Amino acid sequence: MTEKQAHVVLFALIFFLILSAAISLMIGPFGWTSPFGSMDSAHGRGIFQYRLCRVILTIAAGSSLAASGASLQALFRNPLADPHLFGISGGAALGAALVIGFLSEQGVIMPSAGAMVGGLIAFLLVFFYMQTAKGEGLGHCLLVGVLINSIAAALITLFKTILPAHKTQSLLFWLVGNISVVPLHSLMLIIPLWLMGMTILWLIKGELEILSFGVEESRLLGINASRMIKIVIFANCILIGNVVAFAGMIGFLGLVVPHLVRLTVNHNLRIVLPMAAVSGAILLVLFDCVGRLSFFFLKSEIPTGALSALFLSPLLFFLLIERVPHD
Amino acid sequence: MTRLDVLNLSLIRGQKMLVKDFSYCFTGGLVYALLGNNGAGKTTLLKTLAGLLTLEFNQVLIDGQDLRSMHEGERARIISFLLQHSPEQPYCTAISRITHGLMPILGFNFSPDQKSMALIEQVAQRLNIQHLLRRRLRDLSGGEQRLVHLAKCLINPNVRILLLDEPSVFLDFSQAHRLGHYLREMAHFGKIIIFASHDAAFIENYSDRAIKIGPASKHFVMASPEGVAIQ
Repeated sequence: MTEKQAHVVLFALIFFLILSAAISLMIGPFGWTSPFGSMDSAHGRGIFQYRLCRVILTIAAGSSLAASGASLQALFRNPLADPHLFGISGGAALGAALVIGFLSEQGVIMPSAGAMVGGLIAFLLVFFYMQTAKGEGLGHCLLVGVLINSIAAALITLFKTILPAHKTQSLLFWLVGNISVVPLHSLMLIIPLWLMGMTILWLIKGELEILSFGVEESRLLGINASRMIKIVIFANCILIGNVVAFAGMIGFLGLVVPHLVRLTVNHNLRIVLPMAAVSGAILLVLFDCVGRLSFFFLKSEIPTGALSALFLSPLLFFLLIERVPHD
Repeated sequence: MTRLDVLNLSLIRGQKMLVKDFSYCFTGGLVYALLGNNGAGKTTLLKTLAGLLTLEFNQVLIDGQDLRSMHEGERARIISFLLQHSPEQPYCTAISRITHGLMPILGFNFSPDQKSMALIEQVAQRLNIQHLLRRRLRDLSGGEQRLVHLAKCLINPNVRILLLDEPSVFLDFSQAHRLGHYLREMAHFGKIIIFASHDAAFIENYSDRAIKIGPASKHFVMASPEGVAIQ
């Protein structure tokens, strides 16, 4: 696929994203409603506003996860790199778990605030390590992330055993990644953070492509590698902290979507990164629709994180088998 | 004419002193070959000249300018380097890989326009890899991949110093011949070309000076690389 064709595909994907977002605005447990027809009643406006917030969060989460996955796979030159690697999500989950478990008075926004603080602390730990290691230990930086994640996981397991059942239930829902109620004012935080992270990744996508050839190679081509690595990690922390705080731990999407895109369009990172971002958003919007519709049959929504893993794993498996070079 | 001065350079890897007090003046227009046993310090010397390793004082000067005073971007515009182990990135197409060589001068987000496409075509033709341009690196053989990475190093017309670590490895005889001629021709335009190699025939045929890197201070320069094979 040439670069021109790739751009056509990218525009087609953006169009498809708008289309799926529009569909998502119109369906839900309340049935099929045209958002524009129902605007005259307060009830209709409420539903529309609720769905709009939800769609915006879904788009932000899907694109953040996929773009973050693509950039980290390039940075670490490792196909298994995943947005939840740095310990950011571990820290965020722990923060949210603390709020859900031990604060009696909690609004919708409180777990998110806890997650933000937890994620920030985890990020500062990783960043502190990078400063002391002077850009030497990119691989060790992953280890620090894994370390934070496992400490967080251990503490969360501990909470699950000591907390009363109803709290464990809401904690569980949060941990599998569930996009549910997003208050309007939280968008004031979600949208700027999302735009900031995505803009950074967009601006450095060329440098990232070269970083995927290794630190030495990128220094030879004129990139201040240690600074660039910090920028990439910073952008990822913003994106992932944001997503985990408001949508919980949506797993797998960030790992799989970049692979799906790479396997289908066969292109370098500069093309794959924006395409992965848009495809991630489309997929998450669709999964969110399915999750909402599942309310009709199950009287409960299937968490988006579970749905994305359920649908994407077989798809990736199929593509991997299909695209194995036959030699 | 470009000048690359090396003054009393000592190279240490780990605890081991590889090269002691090496001083030499490389001048544009000539092709230099570095030879020496495995682990003698050829790659370390090349990396030092490229600015990848830290220097204690002004031991490397490019046209009189201290290498340490140049930042990455400045260095990348005038020095091009072929790594011994070409990094792998299976999904990258050959043409994108070659384009990377132009990024130091055109920025990291540029897409090939007509002018740069002409440069790509030209270098691809010289290395006889036009038919590989649209293919992914993982679909190429080891030698073909090597040629793509070489094309990335040779494409930037502003480069004054070319450092190549084992350029002829994996190449068949006719490709090595083609590369050797191309290097000679580039040297004619006043560039400094330094390559490290174990390939005696390649050194004999395509270099003007051979520098043997020996243990500690025992390195010597052969004004004419003929007879390298006997050594």
